[in-house]
Amino acid sequence: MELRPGLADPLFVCELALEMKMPVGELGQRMSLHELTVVWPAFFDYRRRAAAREAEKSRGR
Amino acid sequence: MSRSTKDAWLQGPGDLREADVEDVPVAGQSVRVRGLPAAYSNQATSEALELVTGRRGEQTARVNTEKLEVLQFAHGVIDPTFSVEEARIIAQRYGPAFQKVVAKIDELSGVDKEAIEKTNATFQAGGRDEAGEDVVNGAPARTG
Repeated sequence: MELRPGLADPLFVCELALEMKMPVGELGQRMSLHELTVVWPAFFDYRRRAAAREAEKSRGR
Repeated sequence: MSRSTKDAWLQGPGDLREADVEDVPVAGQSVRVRGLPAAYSNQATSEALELVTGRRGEQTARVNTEKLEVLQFAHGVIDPTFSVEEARIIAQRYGPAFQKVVAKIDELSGVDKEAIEKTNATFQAGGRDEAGEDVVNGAPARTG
């Protein structure tokens, strides 16, 4: 889903809340908009890329 | 104009989270705006994200940009303050002035294009290159 900057993907927010063991509402209270909609999505993307590379490497062995 | 003091920088209130947008709605007037908390996103998602059902019953999500900007204006302008309904009326009456205020709120919130590119670059630079090496600023971090 392509969203306007400043608007969090609801599925991503739930994913983050699960990972942080925190209700979605609490995420909203404790984070800045920058953290929720820019930093965490960038980190998740980075982690996904890293995992894909590791998986690719394992297949090559 | 006098030179600023060290204390003015270190002890002052800072200017990262709030700012004045000048010459809105007319020259010589201003509003005070602030960066938005993540809680705004939760409200905006529930109010501005609309599910549209197609002819075959398929659902697609659509962002109501106008509603989103009205919410941004209502939550981001702190002096004077406006209700959501007042912000909606302002959005209908002002174009460039309204957009100027919304752009400043985006900037203060760290969700403008520049802030996003900077953050993405940080995660690129702090990642691994194609060969799987740890890299910092484009150079392999491992030396041993």
